[in-house]
Amino acid sequence: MAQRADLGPKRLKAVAILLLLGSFRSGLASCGVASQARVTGGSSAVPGQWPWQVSILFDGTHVCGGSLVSEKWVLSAAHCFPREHQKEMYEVRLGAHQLDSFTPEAEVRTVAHVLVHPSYQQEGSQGDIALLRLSSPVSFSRYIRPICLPAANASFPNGLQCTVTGWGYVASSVSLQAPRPLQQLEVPLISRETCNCLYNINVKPGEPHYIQQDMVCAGYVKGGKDACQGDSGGPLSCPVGGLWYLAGIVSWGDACGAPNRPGVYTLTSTYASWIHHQAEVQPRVVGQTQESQPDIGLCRNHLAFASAPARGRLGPILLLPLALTLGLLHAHWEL
Amino acid sequence: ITDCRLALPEGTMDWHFPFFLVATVTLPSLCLQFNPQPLEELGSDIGIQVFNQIVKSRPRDNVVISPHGIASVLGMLQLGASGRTKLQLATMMKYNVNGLGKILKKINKAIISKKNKDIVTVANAMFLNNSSKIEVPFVARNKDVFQCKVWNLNFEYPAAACDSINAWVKNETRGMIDSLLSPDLIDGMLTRMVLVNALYFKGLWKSRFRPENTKKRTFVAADGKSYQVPMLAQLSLFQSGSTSTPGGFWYNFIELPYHGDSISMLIALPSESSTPLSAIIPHISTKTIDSWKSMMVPKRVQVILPKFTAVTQTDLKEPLKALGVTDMFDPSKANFAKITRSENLHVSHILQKAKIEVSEDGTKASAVTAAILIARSSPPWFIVDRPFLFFIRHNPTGAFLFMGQINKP
Repeated sequence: MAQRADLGPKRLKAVAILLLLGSFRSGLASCGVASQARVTGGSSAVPGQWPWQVSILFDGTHVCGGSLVSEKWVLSAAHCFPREHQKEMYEVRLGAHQLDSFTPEAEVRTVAHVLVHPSYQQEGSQGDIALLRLSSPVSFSRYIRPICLPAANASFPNGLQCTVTGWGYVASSVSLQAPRPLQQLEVPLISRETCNCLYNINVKPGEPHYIQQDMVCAGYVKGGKDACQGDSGGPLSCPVGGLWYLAGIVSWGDACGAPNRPGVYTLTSTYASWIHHQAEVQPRVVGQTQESQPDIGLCRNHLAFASAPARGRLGPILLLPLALTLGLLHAHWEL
Repeated sequence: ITDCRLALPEGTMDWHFPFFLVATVTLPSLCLQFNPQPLEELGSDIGIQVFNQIVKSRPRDNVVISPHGIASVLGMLQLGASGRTKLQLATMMKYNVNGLGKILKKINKAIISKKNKDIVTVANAMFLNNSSKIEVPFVARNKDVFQCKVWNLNFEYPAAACDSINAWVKNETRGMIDSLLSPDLIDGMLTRMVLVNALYFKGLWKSRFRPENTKKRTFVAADGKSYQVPMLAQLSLFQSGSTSTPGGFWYNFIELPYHGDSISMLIALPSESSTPLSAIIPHISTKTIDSWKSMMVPKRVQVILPKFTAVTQTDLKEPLKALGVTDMFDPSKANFAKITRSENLHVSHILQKAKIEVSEDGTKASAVTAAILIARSSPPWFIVDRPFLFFIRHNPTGAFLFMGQINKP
């Protein structure tokens, strides 16, 4: 298929069969299928790669991401819809790739309803999830397709490589440059317990952050790669058994990409029954892959390392500056 | 999505604002003045009117002045004036300094109170020629109301006199301004008195800007050209809003508080890049700026602001003459009988020099509430990437310590 050749009649037939197979497959799995499910880290996506990703605009400006879960419903974050904002001023852009370019594949819908989860109180609280009903249903295409909703009992193993996507800042206070192509980043899942442990390292008094029951983390202990402002509401897509599941919704984080401060996501499966009840979208049982291994070592290793020089051993003291130097070099490389 | 992989050090945000005001007088009476809320607003309004006059002839320049300093100098002059000279000053200022001394003193003390220490330094001095026989009550009142120090100086040697004054200014402004006066402004034969009003301001932001967020961004200057200048960036909770002039020109404003909460910087930025500052400036008064308060709402905003230094030296003589204060500059009409009866004094120059530095320094890392800054929705932006007006306001008294237009950082 990768070879370039004129499409003779035989080839056309072959293509037609493939297309049929494709639609047959989508018939079986009506969600979580992308035409090009290729994953890389921190780069521009390919058009159609994340067909459930939508852009939510307020007053014509991109404010948040969201995920298409059916012809009529989009899931996003509650904090994207502050009370003082009129819902008439929101729009949802589907099938978009570059926010600054017009593409015929893209569709725009206004929002008929915004359902913010009743448990949501403020930024950082539980229930940072919202359902949007589109003013009219969309037709699925190569560029517009829903993601699978995980069932309530779903559990994604720690360390699973998932992908976060969005049009948010590319560094603290730095917005994505025109033409603003959709960005994707591979991030491993981090358990809630470990994440709470990480957020307690170098915590500022008066600014405690707590990872609630309905949250999960993803990212890197050393920082550098993360979601940021403008990514909220967008998907944390996890691959299981050949399908993509909406494991998390971009919610918050201390700065962006800071060490020991991975991104925090709303754990979608917590709200499976609420979504089912409100939007009549059927959550999907997630196939078992591997058993989840404890990941507390991600945090404890840090603590053990930090205390080493205190023991008065010469070795670690000498090694520490060397390790830091290498760390910096590494950082430059990855820039 | 962030992919920067650099651990960013914690930054600081710094604002330095040294400022001076010098008046070279051939024989004047001065020191300074200011008042409580309404009185202070009258005072600052004079400064704003003077600013209006100055920018008419310098629409494309960076201009920084101290409205409070101007009102102070005029107040000092009013104390020493008599007859029509005094009448012109009082008419323009809309108040008579006599009888208001206590209030003015209170205001001046509030501005330099310990609460603001490390932020505002106000220094006033009068340098009198050794030969001038100065009236004692004038000296005493200036000292009392304006904390104005008096020294004798020999103006017959302009270079030496100039050095003495500059050394004093440098010391009082902690080295921030070190060559205020040039010897050619002193006339060995005629100069009897030089009045200096120096304000030094080093503001620490209440919520500092992180240095790692400072990046070069495009600023479109008043000449229409684009410049790459370092800009500070911060996502935080700020009071902001927008309104329009009676002529229908919309502009946005935002308040950036300094440490201690008594001093703020206010920025006004035309909403459309096609609107020149000159369309907004005539509409600015203390009353207008007070009205912003009721229109501002606290919002999570991404602020982008140039990091810059601006220095301006202004001769206030022409702007003041345009505003109707003429006699004090006229050797045949000036009447400063309360300063000295031994000779006729008139004002030859009133020089003001202001310097402002804007940087990242502040007292705290980000801010206000921990919760409001962590969410990852995209906040509205307040991008100061074109000519803007700024005001440094002492909120308890309403005094405008500085104001300026920046056409190119």
